[in-house]
Amino acid sequence: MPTGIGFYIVVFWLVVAFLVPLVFPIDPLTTNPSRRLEPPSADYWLGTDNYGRGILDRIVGGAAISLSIGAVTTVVSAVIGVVIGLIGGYVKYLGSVLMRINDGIMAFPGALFAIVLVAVFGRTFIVMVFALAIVFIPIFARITFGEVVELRGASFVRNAVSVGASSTRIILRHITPNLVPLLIVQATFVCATAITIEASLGFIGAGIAPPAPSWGVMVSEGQPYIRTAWWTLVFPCLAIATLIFGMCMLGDRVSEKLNRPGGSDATAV
Amino acid sequence: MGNNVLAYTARRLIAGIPVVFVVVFLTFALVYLTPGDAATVIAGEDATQEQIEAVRVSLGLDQPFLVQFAAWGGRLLSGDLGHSLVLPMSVGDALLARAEPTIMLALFAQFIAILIAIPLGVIAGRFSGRFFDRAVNMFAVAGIAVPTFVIGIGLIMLFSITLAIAPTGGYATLSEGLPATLGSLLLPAIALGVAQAAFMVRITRTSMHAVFRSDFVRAATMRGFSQQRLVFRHVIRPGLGPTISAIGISFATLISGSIVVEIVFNLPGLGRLLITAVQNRDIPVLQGLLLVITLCYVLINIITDVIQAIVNPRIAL
Repeated sequence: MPTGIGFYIVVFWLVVAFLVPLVFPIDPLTTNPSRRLEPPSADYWLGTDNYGRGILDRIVGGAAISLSIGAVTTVVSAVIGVVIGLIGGYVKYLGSVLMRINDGIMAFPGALFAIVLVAVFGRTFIVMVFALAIVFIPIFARITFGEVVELRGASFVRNAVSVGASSTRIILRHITPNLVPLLIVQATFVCATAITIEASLGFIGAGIAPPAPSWGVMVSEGQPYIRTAWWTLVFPCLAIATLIFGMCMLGDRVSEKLNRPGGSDATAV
Repeated sequence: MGNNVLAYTARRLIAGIPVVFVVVFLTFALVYLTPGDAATVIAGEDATQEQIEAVRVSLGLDQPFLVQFAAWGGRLLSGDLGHSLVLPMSVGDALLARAEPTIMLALFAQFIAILIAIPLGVIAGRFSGRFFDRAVNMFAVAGIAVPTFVIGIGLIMLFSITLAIAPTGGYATLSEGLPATLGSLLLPAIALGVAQAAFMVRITRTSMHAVFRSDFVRAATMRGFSQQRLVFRHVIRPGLGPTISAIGISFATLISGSIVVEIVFNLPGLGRLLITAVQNRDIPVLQGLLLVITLCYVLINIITDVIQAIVNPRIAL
Protein backbone atom coordinates (compact mmCIF):
# COMPACT_ATOMS: atom_id res chain seq x y z
CA MET A 1 0.00 0.00 0.00
CA PRO A 2 2.20 2.83 -1.20
CA THR A 3 -0.47 5.49 -0.63
CA GLY A 4 -2.30 3.80 2.22
CA ILE A 5 -5.86 2.66 2.73
CA GLY A 6 -7.05 6.19 3.48
CA PHE A 7 -6.33 7.31 -0.07
CA TYR A 8 -8.45 4.51 -1.57
CA ILE A 9 -11.35 5.20 0.80
CA VAL A 10 -11.38 8.88 -0.12
CA VAL A 11 -11.18 8.07 -3.86
CA PHE A 12 -14.05 5.60 -3.43
CA TRP A 13 -16.25 8.29 -1.90
CA LEU A 14 -15.27 10.85 -4.54
CA VAL A 15 -16.34 8.39 -7.24
CA VAL A 16 -19.61 7.65 -5.42
CA ALA A 17 -20.37 11.32 -4.94
CA PHE A 18 -19.46 12.74 -8.33
CA LEU A 19 -19.26 9.93 -10.94
CA VAL A 20 -21.98 7.48 -9.91
CA PRO A 21 -24.80 10.06 -10.31
CA LEU A 22 -23.63 10.63 -13.91
CA VAL A 23 -24.07 6.96 -14.81
CA PHE A 24 -27.01 5.87 -12.60
CA PRO A 25 -29.90 8.25 -11.98
CA ILE A 26 -30.24 8.93 -8.27
CA ASP A 27 -33.27 10.42 -6.58
CA PRO A 28 -32.65 11.38 -2.95
CA LEU A 29 -35.71 13.64 -2.57
CA THR A 30 -38.92 12.09 -3.99
CA THR A 31 -41.01 10.59 -1.19
CA ASN A 32 -43.04 7.43 -1.73
CA PRO A 33 -45.45 6.84 1.19
CA SER A 34 -46.48 3.36 -0.02
CA ARG A 35 -42.92 2.08 0.38
CA ARG A 36 -41.92 3.41 3.79
CA LEU A 37 -39.24 1.68 5.91
CA GLU A 38 -38.69 -1.26 3.55
CA PRO A 39 -35.70 -3.48 4.33
CA PRO A 40 -32.93 -3.83 1.73
CA SER A 41 -34.25 -5.51 -1.43
CA ALA A 42 -33.55 -5.75 -5.17
CA ASP A 43 -35.47 -2.50 -5.73
CA TYR A 44 -33.86 -0.61 -2.86
CA TRP A 45 -30.43 -2.08 -2.18
CA LEU A 46 -30.10 -0.39 1.20
CA GLY A 47 -33.81 -0.15 2.05
CA THR A 48 -36.01 2.91 2.33
CA ASP A 49 -36.49 5.54 5.03
CA ASN A 50 -39.54 6.86 6.86
CA TYR A 51 -40.65 8.82 3.77
CA GLY A 52 -40.09 5.96 1.32
CA ARG A 53 -36.91 7.45 -0.11
CA GLY A 54 -34.10 5.07 -1.08
CA ILE A 55 -31.32 5.03 1.53
CA LEU A 56 -28.73 4.34 -1.18
CA ASP A 57 -29.86 7.35 -3.23
CA ARG A 58 -29.68 9.55 -0.18
CA ILE A 59 -26.24 8.26 0.79
CA VAL A 60 -24.94 9.05 -2.69
CA GLY A 61 -26.54 12.50 -2.56
CA GLY A 62 -25.20 13.03 0.97
CA ALA A 63 -21.68 12.11 -0.13
CA ALA A 64 -21.73 15.02 -2.58
CA ILE A 65 -22.93 17.38 0.16
CA SER A 66 -20.34 16.18 2.68
CA LEU A 67 -17.41 16.29 0.27
CA SER A 68 -18.43 19.67 -1.17
CA ILE A 69 -18.77 21.14 2.32
CA GLY A 70 -15.36 19.75 3.25
CA ALA A 71 -13.62 20.90 0.08
CA VAL A 72 -15.17 24.37 -0.22
CA THR A 73 -14.67 25.11 3.49
CA THR A 74 -11.05 24.01 3.34
CA VAL A 75 -10.21 26.08 0.26
CA VAL A 76 -12.02 29.20 1.50
CA SER A 77 -10.53 29.09 4.99
CA ALA A 78 -7.03 28.22 3.72
CA VAL A 79 -6.96 31.12 1.24
CA ILE A 80 -8.30 33.71 3.70
CA GLY A 81 -6.27 32.32 6.61
CA VAL A 82 -3.02 32.34 4.64
CA VAL A 83 -3.57 35.92 3.47
CA ILE A 84 -4.26 37.05 7.04
CA GLY A 85 -1.23 35.13 8.32
CA LEU A 86 1.03 36.61 5.62
CA ILE A 87 -0.13 40.16 6.33
CA GLY A 88 0.16 39.65 10.08
CA GLY A 89 3.58 38.07 9.81
CA TYR A 90 4.95 40.61 7.36
CA VAL A 91 3.45 43.88 8.54
CA LYS A 92 4.77 44.11 12.05
CA TYR A 93 2.34 46.59 13.58
CA LEU A 94 -0.66 44.59 12.32
CA GLY A 95 0.68 41.25 13.47
CA SER A 96 -0.11 41.40 17.16
CA VAL A 97 -3.56 42.92 16.62
CA LEU A 98 -4.53 40.27 14.03
CA MET A 99 -3.22 37.46 16.21
CA ARG A 100 -5.14 38.69 19.28
CA ILE A 101 -8.36 38.66 17.22
CA ASN A 102 -7.33 35.24 15.96
CA ASP A 103 -6.86 33.93 19.52
CA GLY A 104 -10.29 35.29 20.41
CA ILE A 105 -11.99 33.42 17.56
CA MET A 106 -10.05 30.25 18.34
CA ALA A 107 -11.24 30.45 21.94
CA PHE A 108 -14.78 29.56 20.81
CA PRO A 109 -15.34 25.79 20.75
CA GLY A 110 -15.58 25.26 16.97
CA ALA A 111 -18.76 23.20 16.68
CA LEU A 112 -20.66 25.39 19.16
CA PHE A 113 -19.63 28.53 17.29
CA ALA A 114 -20.73 26.99 14.00
CA ILE A 115 -24.11 26.00 15.50
CA VAL A 116 -24.78 29.53 16.69
CA LEU A 117 -23.64 31.10 13.39
CA VAL A 118 -25.86 28.78 11.36
CA ALA A 119 -28.80 29.36 13.72
CA VAL A 120 -28.43 33.11 13.41
CA PHE A 121 -27.83 33.38 9.66
CA GLY A 122 -29.97 30.56 8.30
CA ARG A 123 -29.61 26.84 7.67
CA THR A 124 -28.27 26.81 4.09
CA PHE A 125 -25.20 25.37 2.35
CA ILE A 126 -23.60 28.82 1.93
CA VAL A 127 -24.09 29.77 5.59
CA MET A 128 -22.71 26.39 6.66
CA VAL A 129 -19.53 26.95 4.63
CA PHE A 130 -19.24 30.50 5.93
CA ALA A 131 -19.69 29.36 9.55
CA LEU A 132 -17.15 26.55 9.20
CA ALA A 133 -14.71 28.88 7.42
CA ILE A 134 -14.84 31.32 10.35
CA VAL A 135 -13.97 28.42 12.64
CA PHE A 136 -11.01 27.27 10.52
CA ILE A 137 -9.56 30.55 9.19
CA PRO A 138 -7.72 31.24 12.47
CA ILE A 139 -6.03 27.82 12.32
CA PHE A 140 -4.52 28.58 8.91
CA ALA A 141 -3.74 32.16 9.92
CA ARG A 142 -1.92 31.00 13.06
CA ILE A 143 0.22 28.45 11.20
CA THR A 144 1.08 30.87 8.40
CA PHE A 145 1.89 33.63 10.85
CA GLY A 146 4.23 31.41 12.86
CA GLU A 147 6.03 30.19 9.77
CA VAL A 148 6.38 33.68 8.27
CA VAL A 149 7.82 35.10 11.48
CA GLU A 150 10.33 32.25 11.50
CA LEU A 151 11.21 32.58 7.80
CA ARG A 152 11.51 36.36 8.00
CA GLY A 153 14.71 35.88 9.98
CA ALA A 154 16.03 33.07 7.74
CA SER A 155 19.19 33.83 5.81
CA PHE A 156 17.69 33.25 2.35
CA VAL A 157 15.00 35.85 3.03
CA ARG A 158 17.52 38.32 4.45
CA ASN A 159 19.65 37.76 1.33
CA ALA A 160 16.67 38.47 -0.91
CA VAL A 161 16.01 41.69 1.03
CA SER A 162 19.66 42.75 0.73
CA VAL A 163 19.67 42.35 -3.06
CA GLY A 164 16.61 44.58 -3.21
CA ALA A 165 13.75 42.14 -3.82
CA SER A 166 10.33 43.72 -3.30
CA SER A 167 8.10 42.59 -0.43
CA THR A 168 5.60 41.12 -2.90
CA ARG A 169 8.32 39.07 -4.54
CA ILE A 170 9.65 37.86 -1.20
CA ILE A 171 6.19 36.82 -0.06
CA LEU A 172 5.25 35.06 -3.30
CA ARG A 173 8.57 33.55 -4.34
CA HIS A 174 10.42 32.93 -1.10
CA ILE A 175 7.94 32.52 1.72
CA THR A 176 4.76 31.02 0.26
CA PRO A 177 6.38 27.90 -1.29
CA ASN A 178 7.74 26.96 2.14
CA LEU A 179 4.26 27.04 3.61
CA VAL A 180 2.83 24.47 1.20
CA PRO A 181 3.66 21.18 3.01
CA LEU A 182 2.36 22.57 6.30
CA LEU A 183 -0.85 23.73 4.67
CA ILE A 184 -1.48 20.41 2.91
CA VAL A 185 -1.28 18.52 6.20
CA GLN A 186 -3.57 21.00 7.89
CA ALA A 187 -6.01 21.00 4.97
CA THR A 188 -6.70 17.26 5.15
CA PHE A 189 -7.64 17.54 8.81
CA VAL A 190 -9.65 20.70 8.40
CA CYS A 191 -11.57 18.93 5.64
CA ALA A 192 -12.25 15.88 7.84
CA THR A 193 -13.27 18.06 10.78
CA ALA A 194 -15.55 20.21 8.63
CA ILE A 195 -17.34 17.08 7.40
CA THR A 196 -17.67 15.79 10.97
CA ILE A 197 -19.11 19.07 12.21
CA GLU A 198 -21.54 19.27 9.28
CA ALA A 199 -22.77 15.72 9.97
CA SER A 200 -23.04 16.38 13.72
CA LEU A 201 -24.98 19.60 13.16
CA GLY A 202 -27.29 17.77 10.77
CA PHE A 203 -27.82 15.08 13.39
CA ILE A 204 -28.74 17.45 16.22
CA GLY A 205 -31.06 19.42 13.93
CA ALA A 206 -28.90 22.53 13.64
CA GLY A 207 -27.34 21.95 10.22
CA ILE A 208 -28.47 22.31 6.62
CA ALA A 209 -32.26 22.15 6.65
CA PRO A 210 -34.02 18.94 5.48
CA PRO A 211 -34.95 17.49 3.04
CA ALA A 212 -31.36 17.86 1.77
CA PRO A 213 -29.79 14.37 2.11
CA SER A 214 -27.16 15.27 4.74
CA TRP A 215 -25.82 12.10 6.38
CA GLY A 216 -26.30 13.55 9.86
CA VAL A 217 -29.95 14.33 9.11
CA MET A 218 -30.43 10.75 7.83
CA VAL A 219 -29.17 9.27 11.11
CA SER A 220 -31.35 11.64 13.10
CA GLU A 221 -34.44 10.73 11.04
CA GLY A 222 -33.65 7.04 11.45
CA GLN A 223 -33.15 7.09 15.23
CA PRO A 224 -36.86 6.72 16.13
CA TYR A 225 -36.85 3.46 14.12
CA ILE A 226 -33.71 2.09 15.78
CA ARG A 227 -35.60 -1.03 16.97
CA THR A 228 -37.57 -1.72 13.79
CA ALA A 229 -35.58 -0.40 10.80
CA TRP A 230 -31.85 -0.66 11.52
CA TRP A 231 -30.94 0.05 7.86
CA THR A 232 -32.11 3.67 8.15
CA LEU A 233 -29.33 4.27 10.69
CA VAL A 234 -26.58 1.78 10.09
CA PHE A 235 -25.79 2.65 6.46
CA PRO A 236 -25.51 6.42 6.92
CA CYS A 237 -23.45 5.83 10.09
CA LEU A 238 -21.10 3.56 8.12
CA ALA A 239 -20.83 6.16 5.36
CA ILE A 240 -19.81 8.92 7.79
CA ALA A 241 -17.44 6.70 9.73
CA THR A 242 -15.62 5.33 6.66
CA LEU A 243 -15.25 8.68 4.89
CA ILE A 244 -13.82 10.48 7.91
CA PHE A 245 -11.67 7.51 8.93
CA GLY A 246 -10.25 7.45 5.38
CA MET A 247 -9.51 11.15 5.47
CA CYS A 248 -7.75 10.91 8.84
CA MET A 249 -5.64 7.96 7.63
CA LEU A 250 -4.80 9.89 4.47
CA GLY A 251 -3.89 12.94 6.52
CA ASP A 252 -1.65 10.88 8.80
CA ARG A 253 0.10 9.38 5.79
CA VAL A 254 0.59 12.79 4.17
CA SER A 255 2.01 14.30 7.35
CA GLU A 256 4.33 11.30 7.73
CA LYS A 257 5.53 11.66 4.12
CA LEU A 258 6.11 15.38 4.47
CA ASN A 259 7.58 14.79 7.91
CA ARG A 260 5.56 17.53 9.48
CA PRO A 261 3.87 17.43 12.86
CA GLY A 262 0.14 17.98 13.01
CA GLY A 263 -1.61 14.72 12.41
CA SER A 264 -5.06 13.94 13.70
CA ASP A 265 -4.24 15.88 16.84
CA ALA A 266 -5.11 18.97 14.85
CA THR A 267 -8.76 17.96 14.77
CA ALA A 268 -9.39 19.21 18.28
CA VAL A 269 -11.33 22.37 17.51
CA MET B 1 3.97 26.38 44.63
CA GLY B 2 6.90 28.70 44.10
CA ASN B 3 6.92 32.37 43.20
CA ASN B 4 7.66 31.46 39.62
CA VAL B 5 4.40 29.59 39.32
CA LEU B 6 2.46 32.46 40.92
CA ALA B 7 4.04 34.97 38.54
CA TYR B 8 3.30 32.64 35.66
CA THR B 9 -0.34 32.36 36.73
CA ALA B 10 -0.61 36.15 36.81
CA ARG B 11 0.97 36.40 33.35
CA ARG B 12 -1.45 33.83 31.94
CA LEU B 13 -4.45 35.61 33.44
CA ILE B 14 -3.33 38.94 31.99
CA ALA B 15 -2.72 37.33 28.59
CA GLY B 16 -6.29 36.03 28.77
CA ILE B 17 -7.80 39.52 28.96
CA PRO B 18 -7.62 40.40 25.23
CA VAL B 19 -8.99 36.96 24.36
CA VAL B 20 -11.95 37.48 26.69
CA PHE B 21 -12.54 40.94 25.23
CA VAL B 22 -12.56 39.60 21.65
CA VAL B 23 -14.91 36.77 22.67
CA VAL B 24 -17.35 39.17 24.37
CA PHE B 25 -17.20 41.62 21.48
CA LEU B 26 -17.76 38.95 18.80
CA THR B 27 -20.64 37.40 20.74
CA PHE B 28 -22.31 40.77 20.86
CA ALA B 29 -21.54 41.67 17.24
CA LEU B 30 -22.94 38.33 16.08
CA VAL B 31 -26.34 39.17 17.48
CA TYR B 32 -26.17 42.78 16.35
CA LEU B 33 -25.66 41.47 12.81
CA THR B 34 -28.59 39.05 13.05
CA PRO B 35 -30.85 39.39 10.05
CA GLY B 36 -34.36 40.30 11.11
CA ASP B 37 -35.22 42.58 13.95
CA ALA B 38 -35.40 41.50 17.60
CA ALA B 39 -37.96 44.26 18.29
CA THR B 40 -40.32 42.84 15.66
CA VAL B 41 -40.00 39.38 17.19
CA ILE B 42 -40.59 40.58 20.76
CA ALA B 43 -43.48 42.92 19.91
CA GLY B 44 -45.36 39.97 18.47
CA GLU B 45 -46.90 39.24 15.09
CA ASP B 46 -49.79 41.69 15.08
CA ALA B 47 -47.99 44.68 16.60
CA THR B 48 -48.38 48.07 14.93
CA GLN B 49 -45.38 50.02 13.65
CA GLU B 50 -45.58 52.32 16.70
CA GLN B 51 -45.56 49.37 19.12
CA ILE B 52 -42.50 47.89 17.41
CA GLU B 53 -40.82 51.28 17.59
CA ALA B 54 -41.65 51.54 21.32
CA VAL B 55 -40.16 48.11 21.97
CA ARG B 56 -37.07 49.10 20.01
CA VAL B 57 -36.57 52.23 22.14
CA SER B 58 -37.24 50.35 25.39
CA LEU B 59 -34.61 47.74 24.46
CA GLY B 60 -32.15 50.45 23.43
CA LEU B 61 -31.99 49.01 19.90
CA ASP B 62 -32.23 52.52 18.41
CA GLN B 63 -28.86 53.42 19.95
CA PRO B 64 -25.56 53.31 18.02
CA PHE B 65 -23.57 50.06 18.00
CA LEU B 66 -20.94 51.07 20.55
CA VAL B 67 -23.53 52.47 22.99
CA GLN B 68 -25.47 49.21 22.79
CA PHE B 69 -22.26 47.25 23.28
CA ALA B 70 -21.30 49.30 26.34
CA ALA B 71 -24.77 48.86 27.86
CA TRP B 72 -24.73 45.11 27.17
CA GLY B 73 -21.19 44.77 28.54
CA GLY B 74 -22.20 46.69 31.67
CA ARG B 75 -25.12 44.33 32.34
CA LEU B 76 -22.82 41.40 31.66
CA LEU B 77 -20.40 42.55 34.39
CA SER B 78 -23.26 42.43 36.89
CA GLY B 79 -24.03 38.89 35.74
CA ASP B 80 -27.11 39.78 33.68
CA LEU B 81 -27.22 37.80 30.43
CA GLY B 82 -30.64 39.11 29.37
CA HIS B 83 -34.01 37.42 29.12
CA SER B 84 -35.03 34.49 26.94
CA LEU B 85 -37.37 35.35 24.06
CA VAL B 86 -39.29 32.09 24.52
CA LEU B 87 -38.77 30.64 28.01
CA PRO B 88 -40.36 32.50 30.94
CA MET B 89 -37.02 33.07 32.65
CA SER B 90 -33.70 34.90 32.42
CA VAL B 91 -30.89 33.40 30.35
CA GLY B 92 -28.82 32.92 33.51
CA ASP B 93 -31.60 30.89 35.17
CA ALA B 94 -32.14 28.83 31.99
CA LEU B 95 -28.42 27.95 31.92
CA LEU B 96 -28.35 27.03 35.62
CA ALA B 97 -31.45 24.86 35.29
CA ARG B 98 -29.83 22.82 32.51
CA ALA B 99 -26.20 22.79 33.63
CA GLU B 100 -26.23 19.72 35.89
CA PRO B 101 -26.56 16.89 33.31
CA THR B 102 -23.99 18.52 31.03
CA ILE B 103 -21.42 19.06 33.76
CA MET B 104 -21.89 15.55 35.15
CA LEU B 105 -21.63 14.06 31.65
CA ALA B 106 -18.52 16.08 30.81
CA LEU B 107 -16.73 15.16 34.06
CA PHE B 108 -17.68 11.48 33.82
CA ALA B 109 -16.60 11.29 30.17
CA GLN B 110 -13.30 13.02 30.86
CA PHE B 111 -12.69 10.62 33.77
CA ILE B 112 -13.31 7.61 31.50
CA ALA B 113 -11.12 9.15 28.81
CA ILE B 114 -8.19 9.65 31.19
CA LEU B 115 -8.64 6.14 32.53
CA ILE B 116 -8.37 4.73 29.00
CA ALA B 117 -5.82 7.10 27.50
CA ILE B 118 -3.00 7.21 30.03
CA PRO B 119 -2.38 3.44 30.43
CA LEU B 120 -2.77 2.81 26.69
CA GLY B 121 -0.52 5.76 25.87
CA VAL B 122 2.20 4.70 28.30
CA ILE B 123 2.22 1.08 27.11
CA ALA B 124 2.12 2.08 23.43
CA GLY B 125 4.97 4.50 24.03
CA ARG B 126 6.99 1.77 25.77
CA PHE B 127 6.50 -0.70 22.91
CA SER B 128 6.47 1.78 20.04
CA GLY B 129 6.40 0.29 16.56
CA ARG B 130 5.19 -3.08 17.81
CA PHE B 131 1.77 -4.63 17.33
CA PHE B 132 0.24 -3.15 20.49
CA ASP B 133 1.36 0.32 19.52
CA ARG B 134 -0.12 0.01 16.05
CA ALA B 135 -3.39 -1.35 17.42
CA VAL B 136 -3.60 1.60 19.81
CA ASN B 137 -2.91 3.98 16.95
CA MET B 138 -5.69 2.46 14.85
CA PHE B 139 -8.05 2.78 17.81
CA ALA B 140 -7.02 6.41 18.17
CA VAL B 141 -7.54 7.31 14.52
CA ALA B 142 -10.90 5.53 14.51
CA GLY B 143 -11.94 7.24 17.74
CA ILE B 144 -11.01 10.64 16.38
CA ALA B 145 -12.62 9.95 13.00
CA VAL B 146 -15.94 8.41 13.94
CA PRO B 147 -18.28 11.19 15.11
CA THR B 148 -19.56 10.90 18.69
CA PHE B 149 -23.17 10.52 17.61
CA VAL B 150 -22.25 7.48 15.51
CA ILE B 151 -20.45 5.94 18.51
CA GLY B 152 -23.51 6.74 20.64
CA ILE B 153 -25.92 5.10 18.16
CA GLY B 154 -23.62 2.07 18.03
CA LEU B 155 -23.62 1.76 21.83
CA ILE B 156 -27.42 2.04 21.98
CA MET B 157 -27.79 -0.65 19.32
CA LEU B 158 -25.41 -2.98 21.12
CA PHE B 159 -26.21 -2.46 24.80
CA SER B 160 -29.79 -1.17 24.82
CA ILE B 161 -31.33 -3.11 21.94
CA THR B 162 -29.35 -6.25 21.20
CA LEU B 163 -28.25 -7.03 24.77
CA ALA B 164 -31.00 -4.97 26.47
CA ILE B 165 -28.87 -4.24 29.55
CA ALA B 166 -28.94 -0.43 29.48
CA PRO B 167 -31.60 2.25 28.99
CA THR B 168 -31.71 4.02 25.59
CA GLY B 169 -31.58 7.40 27.28
CA GLY B 170 -32.85 9.62 30.07
CA TYR B 171 -31.21 11.20 33.07
CA ALA B 172 -31.45 10.60 36.83
CA THR B 173 -30.71 13.85 38.69
CA LEU B 174 -28.19 14.09 41.51
CA SER B 175 -31.07 14.35 43.98
CA GLU B 176 -31.80 10.70 43.16
CA GLY B 177 -28.29 9.83 44.33
CA LEU B 178 -24.92 9.74 42.62
CA PRO B 179 -25.04 6.03 41.68
CA ALA B 180 -28.34 6.55 39.83
CA THR B 181 -26.90 9.55 37.99
CA LEU B 182 -23.74 7.74 36.98
CA GLY B 183 -25.81 4.73 35.92
CA SER B 184 -27.96 6.84 33.64
CA LEU B 185 -24.86 8.51 32.19
CA LEU B 186 -22.77 5.38 31.66
CA LEU B 187 -23.41 4.86 27.93
CA PRO B 188 -23.35 8.59 27.07
CA ALA B 189 -20.10 9.01 29.01
CA ILE B 190 -18.51 6.04 27.25
CA ALA B 191 -19.57 7.41 23.83
CA LEU B 192 -18.02 10.76 24.64
CA GLY B 193 -15.08 9.34 26.59
CA VAL B 194 -13.90 7.12 23.74
CA ALA B 195 -13.63 10.11 21.40
CA GLN B 196 -11.80 12.12 24.07
CA ALA B 197 -9.46 9.22 24.86
CA ALA B 198 -8.56 8.83 21.19
CA PHE B 199 -7.23 12.36 21.09
CA MET B 200 -5.33 12.09 24.39
CA VAL B 201 -3.81 8.69 23.70
CA ARG B 202 -1.91 9.87 20.63
CA ILE B 203 -0.36 12.75 22.50
CA THR B 204 0.50 10.62 25.54
CA ARG B 205 2.02 7.94 23.32
CA THR B 206 4.25 10.41 21.43
CA SER B 207 5.43 12.05 24.61
CA MET B 208 6.07 8.74 26.45
CA HIS B 209 7.92 7.43 23.43
CA ALA B 210 10.31 10.39 23.64
CA VAL B 211 10.82 9.99 27.38
CA PHE B 212 11.49 6.24 27.13
CA ARG B 213 14.28 7.04 24.70
CA SER B 214 15.82 9.88 26.70
CA ASP B 215 19.26 9.62 28.26
CA PHE B 216 18.12 9.75 31.86
CA VAL B 217 15.78 6.79 31.37
CA ARG B 218 18.52 4.82 29.60
CA ALA B 219 20.83 5.65 32.50
CA ALA B 220 18.21 4.46 34.98
CA THR B 221 17.76 1.25 32.98
CA MET B 222 21.50 0.61 33.03
CA ARG B 223 21.58 1.06 36.78
CA GLY B 224 19.28 -1.94 36.87
CA PHE B 225 16.04 -0.42 38.12
CA SER B 226 12.94 -2.56 37.69
CA GLN B 227 10.53 -1.78 34.89
CA GLN B 228 7.95 -0.79 37.46
CA ARG B 229 10.19 1.70 39.20
CA LEU B 230 11.36 3.03 35.86
CA VAL B 231 7.87 3.75 34.58
CA PHE B 232 6.40 5.13 37.78
CA ARG B 233 9.39 7.09 39.07
CA HIS B 234 11.12 8.29 35.91
CA VAL B 235 8.81 8.27 32.93
CA ILE B 236 5.27 9.17 33.94
CA ARG B 237 5.87 12.60 35.44
CA PRO B 238 8.00 14.15 32.68
CA GLY B 239 5.91 12.42 30.05
CA LEU B 240 2.55 13.68 31.28
CA GLY B 241 3.03 17.38 30.44
CA PRO B 242 1.61 17.13 26.91
CA THR B 243 -1.18 14.88 28.20
CA ILE B 244 -2.23 17.53 30.70
CA SER B 245 -2.38 20.18 28.01
CA ALA B 246 -4.26 17.72 25.77
CA ILE B 247 -6.82 17.29 28.56
CA GLY B 248 -7.22 21.08 28.64
CA ILE B 249 -7.49 21.46 24.87
CA SER B 250 -9.91 18.56 24.67
CA PHE B 251 -12.45 20.44 26.79
CA ALA B 252 -13.51 22.18 23.56
CA THR B 253 -14.35 18.88 21.89
CA LEU B 254 -15.83 17.70 25.19
CA ILE B 255 -18.32 20.57 25.16
CA SER B 256 -19.26 20.15 21.50
CA GLY B 257 -19.36 16.40 22.06
CA SER B 258 -21.70 16.66 25.07
CA ILE B 259 -24.17 18.71 23.05
CA VAL B 260 -24.37 15.94 20.45
CA VAL B 261 -24.39 13.09 22.98
CA GLU B 262 -27.19 14.75 24.94
CA ILE B 263 -29.31 14.68 21.79
CA VAL B 264 -28.47 11.00 21.09
CA PHE B 265 -29.39 9.90 24.62
CA ASN B 266 -32.12 12.47 25.21
CA LEU B 267 -30.54 14.14 28.26
CA PRO B 268 -32.07 17.40 29.52
CA GLY B 269 -28.83 19.40 29.50
CA LEU B 270 -27.33 22.49 27.88
CA GLY B 271 -27.27 20.74 24.50
CA ARG B 272 -31.04 20.31 24.60
CA LEU B 273 -31.36 23.97 25.62
CA LEU B 274 -29.15 24.95 22.68
CA ILE B 275 -31.19 22.99 20.15
CA THR B 276 -34.47 24.42 21.45
CA ALA B 277 -32.94 27.90 21.18
CA VAL B 278 -31.74 27.15 17.63
CA GLN B 279 -35.22 26.02 16.59
CA ASN B 280 -36.92 29.07 18.15
CA ARG B 281 -34.15 31.47 17.13
CA ASP B 282 -33.96 32.44 20.81
CA ILE B 283 -30.97 34.73 20.30
CA PRO B 284 -30.31 35.79 23.94
CA VAL B 285 -30.08 32.13 24.99
CA LEU B 286 -27.73 31.33 22.08
CA GLN B 287 -25.62 34.33 23.02
CA GLY B 288 -25.53 33.34 26.70
CA LEU B 289 -24.62 29.73 25.94
CA LEU B 290 -21.86 30.70 23.53
CA LEU B 291 -20.41 33.25 25.94
CA VAL B 292 -20.57 31.21 29.15
CA ILE B 293 -19.23 28.00 27.59
CA THR B 294 -16.41 29.83 25.80
CA LEU B 295 -15.36 31.74 28.92
CA CYS B 296 -15.35 28.48 30.93
CA TYR B 297 -13.16 27.00 28.23
CA VAL B 298 -10.72 29.93 28.34
CA LEU B 299 -10.52 29.60 32.14
CA ILE B 300 -10.01 25.82 31.95
CA ASN B 301 -7.13 26.33 29.53
CA ILE B 302 -5.46 28.80 31.89
CA ILE B 303 -5.91 26.38 34.80
CA THR B 304 -4.43 23.56 32.71
CA ASP B 305 -1.40 25.67 31.87
CA VAL B 306 -0.86 26.43 35.55
CA ILE B 307 -1.19 22.74 36.51
CA GLN B 308 1.34 21.95 33.84
CA ALA B 309 3.69 24.56 35.28
CA ILE B 310 3.35 22.93 38.70
CA VAL B 311 4.10 19.46 37.31
CA ASN B 312 6.94 20.72 35.16
CA PRO B 313 8.37 23.88 36.77
CA ARG B 314 10.63 24.61 33.79
CA ILE B 315 7.57 25.92 31.88
CA ALA B 316 7.03 28.78 34.33
CA LEU B 317 10.52 30.20 33.84
